[in-house]
Order: sequence, then C-alpha cells, then structure tokens
Amino acid sequence: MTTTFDAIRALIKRDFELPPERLQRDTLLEEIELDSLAITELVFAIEDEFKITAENTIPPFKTLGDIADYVARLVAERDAKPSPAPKRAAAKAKPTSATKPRAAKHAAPRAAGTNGAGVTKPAPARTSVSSTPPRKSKRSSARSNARVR
Amino acid sequence: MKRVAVTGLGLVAPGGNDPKEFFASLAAGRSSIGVLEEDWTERLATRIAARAPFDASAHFRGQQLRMLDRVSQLALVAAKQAIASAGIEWTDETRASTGVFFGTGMGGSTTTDEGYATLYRDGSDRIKPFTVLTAMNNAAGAWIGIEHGLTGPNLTYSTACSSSAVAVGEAWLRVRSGSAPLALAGGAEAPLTLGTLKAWEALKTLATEDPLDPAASCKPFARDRSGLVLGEGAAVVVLEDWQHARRRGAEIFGELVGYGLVTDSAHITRPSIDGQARALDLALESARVAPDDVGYINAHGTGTAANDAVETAAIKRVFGARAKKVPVSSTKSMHGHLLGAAGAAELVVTLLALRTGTLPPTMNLREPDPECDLDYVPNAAREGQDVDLALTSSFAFGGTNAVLACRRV
Repeated sequence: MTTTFDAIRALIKRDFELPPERLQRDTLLEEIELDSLAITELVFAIEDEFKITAENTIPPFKTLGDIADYVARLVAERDAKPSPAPKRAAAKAKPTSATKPRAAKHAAPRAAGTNGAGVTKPAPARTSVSSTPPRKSKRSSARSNARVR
Repeated sequence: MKRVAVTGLGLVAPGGNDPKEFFASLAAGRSSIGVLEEDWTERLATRIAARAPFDASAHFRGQQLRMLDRVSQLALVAAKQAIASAGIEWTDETRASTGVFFGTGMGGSTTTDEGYATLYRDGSDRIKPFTVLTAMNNAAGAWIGIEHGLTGPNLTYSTACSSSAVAVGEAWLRVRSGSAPLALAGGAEAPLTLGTLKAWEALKTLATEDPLDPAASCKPFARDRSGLVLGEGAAVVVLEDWQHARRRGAEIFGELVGYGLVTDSAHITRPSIDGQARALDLALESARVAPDDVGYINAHGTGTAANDAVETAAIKRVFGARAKKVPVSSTKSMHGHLLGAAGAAELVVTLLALRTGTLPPTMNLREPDPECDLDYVPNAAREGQDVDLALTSSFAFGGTNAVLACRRV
C-alpha cells in the first residue's frame, strides 16, 4: 500500500525532478533546495492529491517527514469529520426548485442593468472609442479604427 | 553629461531569435505574420498574429518554467543575449550600480488568462499558486535582475505601446547623468492569448486578414490598411557610459543621443499631431541636432487609420519641406505590433539599420493613401544608405509619446 510519504515523494519527484533516493523522511528541505515557494507549490499539489485543504499558514517544515506528518494529520481530521454538505456540487448543479430562486436573485441585477442595490441605472454613455460609425462600405470598414493609435 | 553607448543587443521576436536573424528577415521583406492555429483561436474574428519562433523548453525547465510567464521567458532570453553581446565581466561594484529598466503593457497576460479560465470557465478554485508572481507586471524585469544579480534600481514602465521606449529613455537619462555606468533596458510582451486577443478585437483595432495573403495583413501607411496585428517578443539593450565602454574595449553598436517624452492628456486612444510632433522635437533637441540631420525614421506605423495619418502629419510639421525626403518605414508590417516590446525592438532595428546601411522596408504598401505621402521605403529594403542619425517613434494608448534618437558609430 502506498504510504503518505511515498505519495509525497512521488509528487516531489514529478514536480522538482529530484531522485527518489535523495528523498527520505529525515531529508532536510534545504538539502534538496526546496524553498518557501517550492513548498507552497508542493502543498498545492498535495491538496489536489489528498483532497485536503492546508491551513492558511503553512507550518515551518524542516524535513520531508514533517510534511508527511502534517498531511497525515489533515487526512485524519478530514476523515474524522462527518461528510460535508456537497456545497460546491450544489452551486454547480443545474437550477432546481431549491437553487433556482437564489440563482435568479443573483442574476437579476445584471440582467436588469441595476447596480446590485436594486436601483436601475441608465445605460452608460458610449465612449468615443466605441462610438465608431457603423460599417457601411469596405472603406468605412478599413477606417473602423479611426481613433486608434 | 555622459555620452551613452549601446554595447549590447538582445531580441526574440517574430522573424528572429536574435537581433541579427531578426534584422536579416526584415531586410529581406519577410513577414512573420501568420494565421494562429491553436484550437482556441476558432473563437477569434481574425486569427492573424505574429508569433516569435521561441521554444521556452529550450531555455527553461522544471520549477523555473512554472514560475515564468511567457513574457518573462522572452525577456530573460533577450536580456541574456544583450549581456553576452556586451561582453560584460561583472564585478560587485558594477552589479550594485546596474539597474534594469523594463517595459511591458500587459505583463503576464497568459497567466492572467489561464487563471480566469480556471476560475470562471472551469468553475474551479484551484488557481495556480504562482499566479500573482507570474502575472505581475514587474516580474520580467525582476527576473532579469535576479538572474544576473543586478542590484541597482529595477523599474517597470507600463505605458502601453511606448513602454519599452520609455524604459530605454529613462535608462538613458540615468547613464547620461553619470549616476550609473551601465543599465539594462528593454521590454517584453506576450499578448497572444484568447482573452487579450478578444479584448483587442472588441476595440476594433485589429487588421482584417488579407484574403490572398494573411502575412500581408498589416499595411502601414497604405490606403487599404485596416488595423494592427499583434505580435509577441522581447528586446533588451545594454546602455553604457561611453568612456566606460571604451576603457573595457567593448564593441559599440551605436550611440543613443536623444529622448523625447510627452503626454497628450487629451484622449485615451486618439493620437495627436501636436503630441507626436512635440516628442519628435524634444528628441532632436535633447540630441542637439536639427531635423536636417535625420536620415531615417523607424515609424510607430501601426497600420491603423488614425495613427498613420497623424504620424505623417506630425513628421511633416517637424521636418517641414524636407519631410518627403526622409525615409520613414514601419517594420510592424512584418513583425506586427509588439506593444510593450515594440519600442525596444524597433530601437534594435534602427541601430542595425544605421550600422548596416540597410533601411528595412514598409511592406504591403501597394495602394497609396493621399493622407500618407512620405517616403515609406515601400516594399523593398534600401541598401547602401549612408545614414548617421535616426529616430524611432512609439506612441501609446494613454497618450504617452516617446521618441529615441540614435547615431551611427
């Protein structure tokens, strides 16, 4: 069975082109030149791989083992929680009787040209850039950028 | 005041992966404009653009590649070439005083586009962790500084189509004042993404595809011109205090002698004869030369109806009766509009024109426009020209007009 550490090692090998033999639990991150940005990128990949969300502040890892322990903890916490409501799935789903009114409420201001506070604004005046005369002939088409550098 | 030598040239642009190859392509009248073939371009009304023959994977890999938007990749390669051609052997002292003056209009637009696609198109919250770092406008200049350990000022100028002309001009002021013996200056742009192209398309500025020859779609100064063609690329020059360059035996590609910079502050897009003429005048004044001394102008010449007529009128205002005798060409007819990289790339063209005596042509100029009646070096390069002084113009949205003046060495 693939361990957490093995999976992290595979990600590091894939993204940072480091040989697996250099990637041990006690390997110092500075030894393999994984700086704070590299760790940020690695954590992003780990989030995808393990379906977890890292905390806002990434702990000051020293070794690869620290990362593996951290990930194992987040996975355990995730598994211990009751299944969350499928929030994202609901938002993505096609409107149902339950979601429709909400979606309609959000769509309304844009569709009606209001400012979101329910006040209808007049259509904005066209700027001179967009007030180019309609194309009539080949010549006017060629001149459609008459006000452009 | 110090004299300012150009001792290094670097460029990656449509038509060439280095200055020599690029200039040879222009001198041959070869257009690098073509039809984009990626799947996403099916949504474009016109699919023509000018791509640089640039393969990032030949220069970068792994995490570095992921950290660099295409604009920074182009910039880093151009800067490396410029530094190599200058033959600089860095010391702690020169590194500490050397600045990077860089221009880009749209920064990491590929990154921005991809980020929005992830967020809005795909409905995913997984924006790449380096999005901020790769999209920010000063990334390209910053990476040049980091790669070469240059710890002087590192400034990014964003004045749309004149960004890199301004960057070079501002660097020139620094070196001329004696505040630093060396400066890297240039610009980069990588705007060939769906979002950016669509935005330009909506502005009704882009050229209609020529039905017979897409490569001939950009027609500066011609009656049948229909707009500009977007291109990608980067160009960097090394500016150096003349004495500093001579002492170390550097090859000098030309002398940067003047810089005119004014702003219209009148209209966000509409060009102004007055603004362009003032920039030309100021460039001549700062170079302490007269209009009669100018033997070539590399025009802004975008191929839009407005620019080319206004630019012609501005040149007439500055050069008077002699205007029709000054060769003026727009190489954008072949490499497209490189936006933030245009000023620096066209400075490279201008320097090489002076050096080789070959004036690159304005291609696709078959139908004369009564409003554009100068000598545009139409359709074929002019070789064996004995030109000492040349100007290169960059006029931008936002009204920033920049003109650089350079002299043959």
